[in-house]
Amino acid sequence: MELLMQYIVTGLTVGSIYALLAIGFVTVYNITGILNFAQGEFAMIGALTCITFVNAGLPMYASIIFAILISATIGLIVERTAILHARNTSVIILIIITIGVSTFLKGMGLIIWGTNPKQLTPLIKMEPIHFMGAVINPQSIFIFIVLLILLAVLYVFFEKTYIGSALRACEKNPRAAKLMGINPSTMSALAFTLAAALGAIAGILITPITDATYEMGFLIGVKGFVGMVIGGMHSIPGAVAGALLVGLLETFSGGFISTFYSDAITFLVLILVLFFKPNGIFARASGERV
Amino acid sequence: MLKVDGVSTHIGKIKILHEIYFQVEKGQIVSIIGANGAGKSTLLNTLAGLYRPTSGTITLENDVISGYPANKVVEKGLSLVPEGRQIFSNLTVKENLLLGMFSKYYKEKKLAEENLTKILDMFPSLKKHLKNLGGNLSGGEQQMLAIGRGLMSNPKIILLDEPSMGLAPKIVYEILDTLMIIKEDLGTMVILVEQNVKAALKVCDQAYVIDQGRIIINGTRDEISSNPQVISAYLGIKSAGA
Amino acid sequence: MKKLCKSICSFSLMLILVIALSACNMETSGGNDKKDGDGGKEVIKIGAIFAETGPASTLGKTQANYVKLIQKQLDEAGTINGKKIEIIMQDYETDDTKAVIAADKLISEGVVAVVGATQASTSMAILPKISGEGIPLMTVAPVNPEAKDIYQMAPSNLTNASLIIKFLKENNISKVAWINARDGFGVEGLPSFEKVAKENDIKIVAHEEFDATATDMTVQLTNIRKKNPEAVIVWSRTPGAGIVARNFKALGFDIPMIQSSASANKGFLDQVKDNNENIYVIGSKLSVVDQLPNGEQKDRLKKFREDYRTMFNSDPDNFTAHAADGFHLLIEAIKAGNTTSEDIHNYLKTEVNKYSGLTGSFELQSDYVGPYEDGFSVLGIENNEWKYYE
Repeated sequence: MELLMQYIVTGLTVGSIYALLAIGFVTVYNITGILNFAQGEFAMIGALTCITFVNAGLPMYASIIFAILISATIGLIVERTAILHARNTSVIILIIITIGVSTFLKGMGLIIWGTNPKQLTPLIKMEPIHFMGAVINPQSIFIFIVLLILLAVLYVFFEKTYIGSALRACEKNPRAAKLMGINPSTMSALAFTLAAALGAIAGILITPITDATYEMGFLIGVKGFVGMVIGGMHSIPGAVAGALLVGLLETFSGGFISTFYSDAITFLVLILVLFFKPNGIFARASGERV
Repeated sequence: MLKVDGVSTHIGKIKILHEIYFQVEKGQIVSIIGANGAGKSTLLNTLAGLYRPTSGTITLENDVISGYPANKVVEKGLSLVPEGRQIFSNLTVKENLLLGMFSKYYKEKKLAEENLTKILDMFPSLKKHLKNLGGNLSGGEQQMLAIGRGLMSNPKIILLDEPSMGLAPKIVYEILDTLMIIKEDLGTMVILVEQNVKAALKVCDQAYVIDQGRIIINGTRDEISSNPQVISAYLGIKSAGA
Repeated sequence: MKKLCKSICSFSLMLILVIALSACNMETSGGNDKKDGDGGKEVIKIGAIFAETGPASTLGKTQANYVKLIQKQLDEAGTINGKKIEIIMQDYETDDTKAVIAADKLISEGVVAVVGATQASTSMAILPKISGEGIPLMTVAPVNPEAKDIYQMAPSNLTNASLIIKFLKENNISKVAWINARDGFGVEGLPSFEKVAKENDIKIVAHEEFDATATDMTVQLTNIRKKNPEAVIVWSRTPGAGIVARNFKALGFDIPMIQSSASANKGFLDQVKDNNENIYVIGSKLSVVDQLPNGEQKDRLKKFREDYRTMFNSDPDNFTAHAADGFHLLIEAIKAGNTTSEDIHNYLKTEVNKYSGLTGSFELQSDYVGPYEDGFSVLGIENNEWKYYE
C-alpha cells in the first residue's frame, strides 16, 4: 500500500513536470498548427536566467518575473526570425526549423552557463512531507497547484476573452480569420511569446527539484509532447491529463515491471493510442459538420 | 464606389484574371455570373486581398485597397463572405458574430452590442442559437451567420461568394430578401457571385458575365436578362431569336 | 519574389551566425602552428587533444590550461639535451570527428607522442590513427584495457572498483545496490565492479537504471529499498547523480551512498548542499591535499596545485593530473635521450617501471592498467567540502 502511494505521488510529480511543458506545446499547436520542439529550451532559458538573477542578488520574485519576460522575448524573436519567413512552407519544414532552433538555444545555453547543474531554492522551504507511507516533496505540491491555476487561467483566456476567441478562430480557419481582420502572423507571434513564457514558468518551477542544466529541456519536452499526443492535441486540459498519465505510466511500469523498460512501455502506449484513438484519449468530437 | 481598374491575377504562373474592369456604384447590387472555373471566386478573393493582383488597381471610395493583405482590406471597408460559408465551427454563434467586428473591435467596443442587436434583428433565426457552436447549425443558418458576420464590421461593400450553394430554394429566397435589406436599409454596396443565374439576376442592378477570366458581357439587369447569349448559355432556354 | 528574397536573407543570416559561433571556438591554443624553419631538428613536438570547449570542457578546460603551464615551465628550463620541446594543442570541441581531424593535423606536424583525449569515446576514435603511425598515446580517460601501444594515465574501472570494495570491507558491508545512468559513462562501471565484488564475496542485491536527464529517481530507489542493501553505489554524471542523492535523502535511507568520480566536482557538492551526510564520492587526493598526512605525496600534489593556481587562479583536478602525468612521463623519456616515437615506446615499455604520478603510482611494466588506487580515496563531505578519511 505504501508502495502504491509512493508510485502515485512520484507519478503525479513527474507527470506535472511534463504537463507544464505540454501546455506550451498545445498553445503553439492550437494557434499555429506548428509543433514547437524548442519548447523544452524555453523552460531551460527561463530556469537558468532566473538563477542568474538570483545569484546576482535580485529578490526571488523580481528574478522570476524578469526571467519570464526574457524568455517570452526570446520566444518572440525566434518566431520573427525563424518562423515568420517560413510561414508559407509546409508544416514539416516548420517543425524541422523548430528542431534547429532547439539545437541553437541549447548550444547558447552551454556557452553561457556551462555544464555544472545550477540550483534554485524553493519558494517555500519545507521538509519532505510523509503521507500514507509516501514521501512528498513540497515543491511537487506547489507545481501541481500552479498547474491547476494555469489551466484555469488559460481556460478563461481562450474561452472567455475576445482575443482568445480570435486565437481559436485563427487555428480553425486562418483564411476566414484573415477576412475578419485577424492577422495570423500576429497571432503566431503571440502564440510563441505565450508559449515561451509558459515554458519559463515550467522551468522555474521544476528547477528546485531537478536543478538546471543546458540540456534539461530535451527529455521533459519529449515527454510533454508524448503527453499531449496521448491526451489530445487540441485541448489544454486533455494534454495535461495525458502528461499526468505519462508520469504515472512511467512510474508504475518502473515500479512493478522494471525501470529498464519503463520508457519502452510508455512509447508502446503512445503507439496504441495513436492506433486506436488518434485524436487523443480525451478528445471530444469537434463541432464539425461532415 | 468600388472601382476595379484593369486587374489581373496570376495563380502560380497561370493567369486567371485578364484585365478586369468594372465598378459598383453606391447603393447598387452587382451580380457576377459565369460557369464553374470562370474565375468568379478568384475575382472576389483578389478584391478581398487574399490574392495580390499582378496588375491593375482597386479603389474603394478613392482609397486604394489593392496590394493590401486581407486583414487590412477589411479595415478599409470591404468584407467578403467566402465560398462555403467558412464560419468558425468551433466557436459559438455569438463569438462568430463578434469576431466579424475584429478589425474595428478595439476602437469601437461600444458598437459591438449595438451591431449584434442589429444583425440579430436581420437574422432572427440566429437568436435562439447564440450559444450553440457554429458547426451545429444547418446549412441555411450557417449562411445567415456568415452574412451576418460579414456585416458586423459595417463595411462599405460586402462580397458574397455563391451564397446559395447547397441550399434549398426557400432559403435562397430568404438570402435574396436579405440582400435587398442590405441594399435598402443599410445602404451597403453588394457584389454577388452566383452560379444560380436566375437568383443572381433577381436582385441585381448591374450584372457582369465572366468567362475564362474575362468579362464578356455587362449591362443592367434587364439587358442581361434579355440577352440571348446569356439566355442560351446560362438560363438553359433556347430563345426564338438569334 | 520579395518573399523569396526575404527567406533567403534570413536563412543566410542564421547560417552566418551559426558559422561565426563555431568559428569562435575553433582556436588552437599554444600558438604553435608555425612550422620551424629547420624542419624540427631542434624541436621535439608533442601533441595534445583536449576538449577545451563544448560539454566535455568541464573535464578538458583544465587540461588545456595545463598545456600552457607546462609549456611555460619547459620554456623556462630552456633545452633538454640541446632540444626544445613544443606542445601543440588541438581543441576538439567535444566532437569525435573533429578529434580525428585534429589527430591528422598533429601527425602531419610531426609529433612524436600524443596526450589525449579528454573523453573515453574520443580516445577510442583517435587511437587507430595514432597507433597506426607508431606514435605513443598517453590516454587521460579510461579506455579498453586490451588496446595496445597506449599508456593509460586514468584509473581504470577496476581501480575504482577496488577502492569501493576496500571501503565496503572497512565498513563491514556485504550487500550493495547499484544504480546507474543509462548512458556511455553510466554503464561502464558495473562490469568491473561485479568482477571484483565476486572475488570479495560482496553481493549486488539490486540493479536499477535511469535516464541520464530524468527528473526523479524515486521509483528506482524504492525498488532498491525492497532488497535491503547495506549501501547504494551510484554511477552517473551530474545532474542525475545529484538528483539520485537528493531523492535518496528524501526517502530517508540511512545507509551510505557511494558516488563515482564523475561526482567529484563542485557541481555535485552544490547539488547536495547541506544534506550530504553519509554520502561518499570517489575523488582524487588532489581535492583534499591539505588534509593528507605529511609526506612526499602531499608535497608533490601541493606543488602541482600551487603552480596551477598561480597561473590560472583556480584549482586543477584529477583530469588535469592525468594529463600532467602523461606529459611528465614523455618528458622523462625525452630526458633519457629518446627523441623518436619508437624510442619513446621502447622507454615506456622496457626502461621505466615504477613511476610516482600525480594521479597515483604506476607500474608500467606490470599487467595492471593505469595508476594504482593510492592517488584516490573515498571522500566524505563535511561542511559542504570534501573530507579525507585515512
